[in-house]
Amino acid sequence: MTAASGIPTASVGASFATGVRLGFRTAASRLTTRSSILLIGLSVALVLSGGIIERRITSLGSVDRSLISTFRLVIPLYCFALTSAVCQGLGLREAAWSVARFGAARRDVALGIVLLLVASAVVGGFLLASLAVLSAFGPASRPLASELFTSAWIGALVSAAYAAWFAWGSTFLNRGRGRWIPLIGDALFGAGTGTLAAFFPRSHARNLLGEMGPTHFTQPQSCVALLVMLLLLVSFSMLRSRD
Amino acid sequence: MSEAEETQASAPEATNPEIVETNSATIELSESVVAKPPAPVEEVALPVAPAAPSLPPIVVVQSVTARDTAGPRGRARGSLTGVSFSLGTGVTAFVGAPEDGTLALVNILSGAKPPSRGSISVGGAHPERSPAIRTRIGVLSPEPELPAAKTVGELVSMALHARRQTQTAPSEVLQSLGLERLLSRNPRSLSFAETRAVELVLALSTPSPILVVLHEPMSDLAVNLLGVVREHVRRLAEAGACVAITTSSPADARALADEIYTLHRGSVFRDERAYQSVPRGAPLLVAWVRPAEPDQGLAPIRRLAQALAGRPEITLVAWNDEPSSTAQAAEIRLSGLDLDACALALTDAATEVGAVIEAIAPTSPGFTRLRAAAEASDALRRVATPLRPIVPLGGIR
Repeated sequence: MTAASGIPTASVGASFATGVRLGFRTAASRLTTRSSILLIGLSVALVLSGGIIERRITSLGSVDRSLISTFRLVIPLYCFALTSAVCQGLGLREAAWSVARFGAARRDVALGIVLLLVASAVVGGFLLASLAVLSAFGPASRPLASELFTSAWIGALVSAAYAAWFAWGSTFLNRGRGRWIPLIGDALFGAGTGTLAAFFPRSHARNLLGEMGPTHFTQPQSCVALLVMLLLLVSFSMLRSRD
Repeated sequence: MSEAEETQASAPEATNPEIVETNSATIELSESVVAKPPAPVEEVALPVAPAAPSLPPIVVVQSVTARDTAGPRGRARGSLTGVSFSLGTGVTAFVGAPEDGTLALVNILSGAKPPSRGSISVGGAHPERSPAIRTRIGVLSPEPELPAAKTVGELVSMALHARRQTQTAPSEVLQSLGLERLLSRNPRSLSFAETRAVELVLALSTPSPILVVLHEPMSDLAVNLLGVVREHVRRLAEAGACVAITTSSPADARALADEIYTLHRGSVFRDERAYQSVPRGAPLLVAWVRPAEPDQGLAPIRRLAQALAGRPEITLVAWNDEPSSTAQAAEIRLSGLDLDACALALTDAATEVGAVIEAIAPTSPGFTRLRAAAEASDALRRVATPLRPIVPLGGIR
């Protein structure tokens, strides 16, 4: 096959697997920067100091209070900053361009970036929730092992949902400024118990931590809601990032 | 007649063999220098005309309106407004500033951003939507956009994998511009010029290239031999690729391109005379020189002319020491294949014979003059035929 110019055409662009792998590697390189390490350090410091303060006040319910502040403030902001870092302060489409320009599909590269983002959020959420428990753990607390296990998986699941929200938000507005919308929306509406709250991870995190969930969701329903959120929003992000 | 047009109108006059021949100094010089073969008359008189290929265009841009995001906070710095043109094989330069839309043009040609209105096709596909066509598009962007990696080698390897060039080693690619020393460097430690050089080497090594878009390929580059870049560009064009160059330097455009257009305030203009290739043998450079010591007379100037005539870069030397000129100063006109090489040869020879260069200038018009010509052309277009595109579709080749 030859082009109009008479030059033989190259084969098609990079395969799906190559695109995803290159996107994953690009995002990983973007995360191994000084600012990302600073972000992790800051998040850990916030969680630890919060937990220690709660335990100092009273060890009765200190773990719950430490977890609530971690899930309310630290995890959303950590995931938000993580998204900005992997996208280099740009939109998801633009963040994929540095690899996509050489022939990989933007969607595939963006998927690689989002997968690493979700993976980093999961690891981060797991660690931050665990640290929140460990730092606030006192004599009046429930058994450490079960507390640690439950909080850690909730942290991982909620962080993944946040990452998916911010990734989708990054496909809107100039330079991905759309990721501010879920952050503000979560802060404004996620604290409620109405139907609108069910769309945001904060309400489900609260439910899983033992408080009242949105529209009387049970805890398993909140888990499913977070998983559906994750899958749908990642898919929507891919649709928005396609060539 | 605008200033630019006046300049261009006078340029062919200077290349006229009659004028060159009536200059007694030139005749005497060409007789005295044995090693210098005389320039063939046909080369002096005839402009270099690019071959007109009969193949269909590679790039088709139709009524495109686009803006860049290079301004503060992602605002537009320049834009294109309803631009239409088509490009075939060969090297085409668009001379303009970022404010005129050069960055927006690079964005749409490379597929980085879609036009807000109109359509663009490269090899029959939309570069923004077709990853397959992007494997065949090489780009040197205004701001380097390379994959994030720990080393330059890894970065190049990622680009090669995206292009399915899995058999090519990164060192092989970097070697073509002498950049193998960067292989183990962290991309974050590279200077702007080094990063651009890496991006350029990737653009020039595009497999089966259909389009190569280069923004300012002769400046801000950590490449020692810019002549090598020129050779690469020429080779790409000869292989049948379309090379589109955006630059604010008319001299660079003339040195690299077969066809040159002005991009002015978002529109594309063409002034045949302003961008006509300088005919071989026609003066590329004019310099005003004087002896270092006033009592030396014009002997050093004569020695300078002789020294220049012996240089391989110079094809013709003409000089004028008529009484109307400044006392004990002479105007020297140099012809050659390369403006930079002529300037360097002049500087070397002047140092050698002890002459002082008072001023030096290319004989072709500069960016400001070209913009003024484009402005005048635009005004004329608005008055005469408001809806007629300056460069009709398919009009370039």
